[in-house]
Amino acid sequence: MKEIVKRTLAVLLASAAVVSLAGCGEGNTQTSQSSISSGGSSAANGGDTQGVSTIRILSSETDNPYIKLEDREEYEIWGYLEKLFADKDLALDIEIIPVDQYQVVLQTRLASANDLPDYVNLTPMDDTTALNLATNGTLLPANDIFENYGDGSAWEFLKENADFAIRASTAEDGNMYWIPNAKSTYYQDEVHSTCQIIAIRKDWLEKLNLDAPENAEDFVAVMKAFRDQDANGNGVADEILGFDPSVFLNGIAQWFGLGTDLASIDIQNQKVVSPWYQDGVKEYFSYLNRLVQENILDTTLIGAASSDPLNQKMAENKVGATFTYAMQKWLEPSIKAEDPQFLPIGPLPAVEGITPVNAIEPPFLAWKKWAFTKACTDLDAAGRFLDVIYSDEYRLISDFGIEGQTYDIVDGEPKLRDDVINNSLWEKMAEDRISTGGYLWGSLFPGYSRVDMSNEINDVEPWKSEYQLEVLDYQPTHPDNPNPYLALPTEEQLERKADIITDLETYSKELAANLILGNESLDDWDTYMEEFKELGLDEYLEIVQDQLDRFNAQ
Amino acid sequence: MKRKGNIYYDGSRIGNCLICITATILAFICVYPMYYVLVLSLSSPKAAIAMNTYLIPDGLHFDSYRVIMKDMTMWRAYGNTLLYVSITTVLMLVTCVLAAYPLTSSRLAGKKWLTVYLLIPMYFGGGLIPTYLVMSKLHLYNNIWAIILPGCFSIWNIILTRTYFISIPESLREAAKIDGASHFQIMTRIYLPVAKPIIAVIAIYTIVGTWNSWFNAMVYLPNPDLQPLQLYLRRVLVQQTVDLTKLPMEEVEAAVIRNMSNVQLKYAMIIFTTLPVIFAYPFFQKHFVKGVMLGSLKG
Amino acid sequence: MTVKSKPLPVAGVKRRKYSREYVQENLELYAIMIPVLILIFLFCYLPLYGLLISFQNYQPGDPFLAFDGSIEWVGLKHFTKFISGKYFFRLIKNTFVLSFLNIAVGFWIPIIFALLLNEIHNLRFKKLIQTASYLPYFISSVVVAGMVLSFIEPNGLVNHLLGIFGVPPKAYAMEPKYFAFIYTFTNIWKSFGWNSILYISAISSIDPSLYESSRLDGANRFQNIWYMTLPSILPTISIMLVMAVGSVLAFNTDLILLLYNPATYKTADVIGTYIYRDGLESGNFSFASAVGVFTATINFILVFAANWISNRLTNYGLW
Repeated sequence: MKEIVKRTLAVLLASAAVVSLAGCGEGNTQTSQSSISSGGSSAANGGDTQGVSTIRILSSETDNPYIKLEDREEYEIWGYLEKLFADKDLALDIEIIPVDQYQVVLQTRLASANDLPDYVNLTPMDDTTALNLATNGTLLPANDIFENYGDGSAWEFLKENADFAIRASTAEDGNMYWIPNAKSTYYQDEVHSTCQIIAIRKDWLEKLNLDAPENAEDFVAVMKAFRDQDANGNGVADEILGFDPSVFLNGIAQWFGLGTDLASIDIQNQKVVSPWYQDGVKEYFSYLNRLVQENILDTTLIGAASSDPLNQKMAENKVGATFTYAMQKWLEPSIKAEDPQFLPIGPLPAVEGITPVNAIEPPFLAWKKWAFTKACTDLDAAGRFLDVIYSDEYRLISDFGIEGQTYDIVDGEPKLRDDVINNSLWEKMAEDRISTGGYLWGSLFPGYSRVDMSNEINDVEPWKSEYQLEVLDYQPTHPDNPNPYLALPTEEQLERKADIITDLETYSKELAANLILGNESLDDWDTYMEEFKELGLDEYLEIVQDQLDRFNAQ
Repeated sequence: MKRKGNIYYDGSRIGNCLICITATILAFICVYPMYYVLVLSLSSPKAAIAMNTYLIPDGLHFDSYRVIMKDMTMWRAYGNTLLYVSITTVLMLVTCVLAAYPLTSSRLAGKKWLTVYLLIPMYFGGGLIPTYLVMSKLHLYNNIWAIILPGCFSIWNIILTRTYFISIPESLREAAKIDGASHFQIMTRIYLPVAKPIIAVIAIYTIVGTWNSWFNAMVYLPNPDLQPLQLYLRRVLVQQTVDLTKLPMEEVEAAVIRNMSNVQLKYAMIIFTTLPVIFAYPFFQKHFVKGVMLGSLKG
Repeated sequence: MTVKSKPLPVAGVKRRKYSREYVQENLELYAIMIPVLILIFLFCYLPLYGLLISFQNYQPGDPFLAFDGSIEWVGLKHFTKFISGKYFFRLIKNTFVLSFLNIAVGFWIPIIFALLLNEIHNLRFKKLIQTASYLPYFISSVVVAGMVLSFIEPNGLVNHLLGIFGVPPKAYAMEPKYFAFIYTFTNIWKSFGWNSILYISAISSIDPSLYESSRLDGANRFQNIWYMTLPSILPTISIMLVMAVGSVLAFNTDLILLLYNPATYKTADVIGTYIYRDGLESGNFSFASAVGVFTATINFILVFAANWISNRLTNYGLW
């Protein structure tokens, strides 16, 4: 035996030089075989077949765990889409990359300008990088294609319905280098949107015969009662408030009139403010410190690296109140208890003279990015491509799918079937190869949707919908995400932001955590403010304010 | 064959007992968490999220394992991994011995410079994009050799092998030289046979390292048909790379639900990927736990 | 054991050095090495030009090197920004403290464990313990951190155990002064068994006849360890120590990211975690690269220093 091993190793060593050098050579031949694009419809490049132009697309797989672009040829709806493109003499050559891999593939391919597609899903790329790709000419100005190619219908549609998305994606030079997904929310034809708030255990309130808290003081009393009277009945005083106060978007900060981010937008006054400079901030920190002293606030959740610890406490039925969306439906099923219920509350008054703020989801959202690259030479085809994806026919198959399969016509309007709306049936839909276009190719094309909140409002428990309706007109508001209100930063602003943001965020989070835990004292407030000024908070606010002003001026 | 490993010694009985007890406690500290992972992977999903079953699984739920195993892609990825592991390991052993042997010779010219040549890459790297460009210039993009070639040598392992080699008396080599053996012959006939322990260790390092690695595959192998198991498993866990705060509520909802159902998968995956390594381990372990008879060569 | 043979200060050495025999021997040795040297060159040295971005304002998509003035060279700007930053000293201090603890404690435990294993008679038991010891290495950091955090939370296992001795419960994860201990402990627990494999293999290559003769001399267990085992694995220990010193500024960032939080930044924020956050916030490639060059340079100097000392003290070193 031993001899054989020895000899084998000897032979291996002898041939080593050959093997490891031949590795590269053999690799070459392998490439040509294995690098055939994983997309199914790998038509020949360029528009060489009777006037049909092929658009080469690089995109990620869908986020959906069941309905996959990889299987698109087996979905009937895909044929509908191909037909729409074929009508405009277009064919698609798609390379699909798995979601988890997409960011790195995008970075390497685009950054090295290697093997560029004509059209690309740019979503995982941050604004800075994407803008730089625009400046160095890798990306084409999409507005130019919209305006000067195709039949102009796409541009008209976008301007009419999603002007906000154009404004939020237009760079300093007046060009729009990427096209975002756009969504606007309405309730009864007025602009409205949902919000993020503190939600409290309704079933516990009822069990202990307590009223829902009306102000911040009540809230402490109720949370104390939860703990002292063992609301979850496990014999241990472990009922807690589960949220992460190392950031200002946490519900309770908003009771004290504070913004939601280091630079937050006061929507009514169109002013950028920092919670650190606002009036209620000291009271806010002493309030949270009190919650810690009273053992109500679970300190281990401060700045937690993942959501697991909170989910863990939630599942164990220990969370008496948490910060979440007003109309969420996903928390209750994760709790190990009989019929748990969350009741949205607030914004509760906390300090005299300060009106609490509501943290809303922006009613106009522009997110994700798609762009044309310099590899796209047939701009006319690009124009036709955009005409297709902003056409009424496309929207019908994208939003609703196929009549009789995924939607029906009710009162002359298309209406999705109930089983298509329900996420838990995705697996079944995927098995039957039934899907709306949106589920199947949501990662391929930008879209515009106009959402009527009444669907969601009708879909949740009455106490949630009542609450939502009540706060619809509540003011003042700050958005939970400032980006949709801001024009893209200029190159200079980007660089300044990058220079100061990390230290600012570090200082802000650390100070907030330490003030809450009582490791730092409010007496040293002036020092903190000086430190913030030194770290450039004022400059940061000015930059964001300028972005806001430019957005409004457009 | 008689066990020769430990005949040399007769310590006190109390000492032996103490040693055994300490070792048992250590082993328990190491085994229990793995067992805990196993329990969580089999418990009900809610219990897995709550992390509060410690000894006996709360029911027997194989759903997570089903999710991992139902997909044909997984088995293909499994096959790919086995291929990568075996080729990489063999090449690794070859490169280690080839590079380490000459470094043990006191007559090697420029040894100091060679060591510096080996050390620099341990500390400095060019970063993602330059490495990508080199790989694609070498036509390794989307090619299985993109996993094997950069993984088939390790400067760290070369240094370890060399350290082992220098403990082999140089007189052996000198004697062989006088008999007219070439360096290559000395390396294969004299050094290799006594280097079994270090070869076993490096094989284990490489097998485990390759088995667990996914980063290179993520960067260089966009084609799912070529991807290794770990990348596939990671994909089952990570479905989304976008910052949740920038998404509308519906997408947040979908992501949150996915996250929760993934909690248990994490545990099932650890069990699923560790088992093969544990089974393969004894084969290598015997080579370095028992030891070789270096003395017999001396004669 | 080999003692490094240094060229003898004898006249005529120089002529002998370039003798035909010498040249031929070196050709032979280099021929053996060359495939590996080429691999290293291809995959490690060719991409090194990427380090240039440390001295530029690089953004993905820019060229790395061009002479048409399109590159914005900024010299040492990123280095000075890092060194003059508010958190520089804290980052360096934390990085050094955590690494130092890791070496001062974590380095020796695998060795002690290997020695302990060597004292076990029963081969089967020995194999079992050895197999058990490396299991934690296979549990992913995410899960390890999750377990540790849930064990040390106020309602967790550790507080329950300490409660028996009347210690009031505490949120240990939130207190800066415990972080170093938690991190070091977790790290050692996760990797001691795995790291001991190398020492076990080194011990296994010790010639048993050595032990036999020492037994005849009447040596006891500790004398055996001290005079036989330890000297035999000294080369491995020295090399490992040299390399450990050389990685003082680069280590397990993953685990820290999962264990720390803003309240413990004071003792837990290290260079790696800071750069990670910077990457998330600003995506500044040049800055990250510059910090990388900075730490790698320090590590590089340290490894040379450690090697020099090791060569002096033990006669073993990297070269």
